[in-house]
Amino acid sequence: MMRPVVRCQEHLRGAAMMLAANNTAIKKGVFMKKRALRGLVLALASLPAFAQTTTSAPPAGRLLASNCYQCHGTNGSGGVENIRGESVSEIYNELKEMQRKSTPKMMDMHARGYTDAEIKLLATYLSTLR
Amino acid sequence: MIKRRDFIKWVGTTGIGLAAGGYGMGALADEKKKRTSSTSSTSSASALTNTGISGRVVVIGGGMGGATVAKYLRLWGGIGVSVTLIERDASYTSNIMSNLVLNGSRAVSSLQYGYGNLSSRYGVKVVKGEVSSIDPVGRSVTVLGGVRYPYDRLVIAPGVDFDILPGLETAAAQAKVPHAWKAGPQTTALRNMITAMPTNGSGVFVMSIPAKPYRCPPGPYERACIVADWLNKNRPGSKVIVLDANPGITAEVNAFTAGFSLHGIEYRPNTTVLSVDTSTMTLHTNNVDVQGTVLNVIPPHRAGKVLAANGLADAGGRWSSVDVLSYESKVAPGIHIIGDAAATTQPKAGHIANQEAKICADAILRLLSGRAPDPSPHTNSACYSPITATTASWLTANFAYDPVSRSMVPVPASSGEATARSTGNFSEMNKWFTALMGDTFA
Repeated sequence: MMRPVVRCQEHLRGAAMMLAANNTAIKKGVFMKKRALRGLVLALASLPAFAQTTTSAPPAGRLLASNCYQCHGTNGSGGVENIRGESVSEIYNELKEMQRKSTPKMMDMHARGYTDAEIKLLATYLSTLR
Repeated sequence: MIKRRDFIKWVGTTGIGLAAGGYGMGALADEKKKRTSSTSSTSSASALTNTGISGRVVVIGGGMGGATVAKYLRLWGGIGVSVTLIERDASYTSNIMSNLVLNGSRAVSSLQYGYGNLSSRYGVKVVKGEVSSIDPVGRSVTVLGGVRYPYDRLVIAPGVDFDILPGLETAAAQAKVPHAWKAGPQTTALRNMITAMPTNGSGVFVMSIPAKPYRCPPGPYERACIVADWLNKNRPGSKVIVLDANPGITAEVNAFTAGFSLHGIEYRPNTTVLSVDTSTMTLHTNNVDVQGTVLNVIPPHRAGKVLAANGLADAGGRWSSVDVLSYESKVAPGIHIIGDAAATTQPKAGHIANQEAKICADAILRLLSGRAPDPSPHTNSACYSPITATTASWLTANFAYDPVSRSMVPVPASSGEATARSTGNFSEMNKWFTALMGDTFA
């Protein structure tokens, strides 16, 4: 059975060959463009087996927010306290308030480990979970 | 042709049996109940999407790190990422909370977690087997019996193994002086030794702590407190002596200093056990010899055997060095090592192994799709320690990646311990434990 990553690589090689065919049909006098196109052909043909360009990047904040799940459950649900379905501002304000507590408990202390930007990032991701 | 009788036998000894088996156990039965009563706390396998990412990942070891990485590879990677988990045991016994077996408040069976959820909810292929060889060039793992599992990425999470101290070479000697630092039969055996201590108060319980790094920094001090608390109530007059190879208490200094004073524990720092005489029940140390009724020697640790056997214990011959952005080995491309076996700046403990596993899963999925790992991960260590049968303290630290030292560094303001033990902490401890095990196995 052919592995999907190999298939992907072959798709790219196929695309590169088509470009190469078009390249030969290009009229003389566009030498620079032709060279650029040849470069592209080579680049595509030499892509490593693991290179896939079809997938989208993982959602920002997903990995950071997963620090919550040991206590708050996978995807923020089912643990010590449900945090799934809260809005960005709810999560953000709660964490900022925890950072300011004068006698910090465990979660207040944990919250102090994140920068303001990180809190925004994980709050934004958590708010998208349904 | 396989006869029906043989087929049943075969199912019972392979991964197929795991999906259906094991629900008789306490923790598993609880989880099943919760699953049916709570509102979609986790995604089911049928909800897994096709992310477009494809690849084959083999995971060796089904502890806190291995189970979590298998689950999150499927949860985040979707149906194109095939995940095979190879584990020698039918279920995992949690080390966390296992000290509470020693005072009779928990049974080992309440700490067991099977792999049924990983296969039924996330489509992880669970193989019950022992690894015989790893081919890092051809990228495959072979188990005893000869079945070969090819991989694009391999994750190894074998936990720890123990040095064998002089005098403890035989199984009989090890049974007489258990470490009980891998929860299971030894934990029950140690509990039985404690309850068999004399009622006239002449008994002495001696435990020893190895030099850092070892699994669960607060764990040994917690054990001393739990055992002393039980003895004071049930075998008054008995003594508890702690021999610590470290120069001082390595975690939750306030809580354990107070706990040791409360329970009257004799603490001897800078004391390393060099050998054990099981005939006279004597520990020979770098200081004076110590005799006891019950000896609980926790030997120095090293990474699980599979790493050294495959040339991957490159850090001092004991641990595996990794890049903490991906947990990929520094000596073997394509092989990732997570949890207690990895040499990092983080504590060796189940809670943080769970987060290392998520970073590893995320990095593998990015690598499989031609991307670089997340450049700024966090991990966190959080745990509760019982100090008595009804009170607990806690410890927490939030680690951030430092690009200069290329290591995980605790954010100072996020690190600390409880101001005092309390019953409130004890009840929070039970909730934390249930949530952590759910995030790992359910």
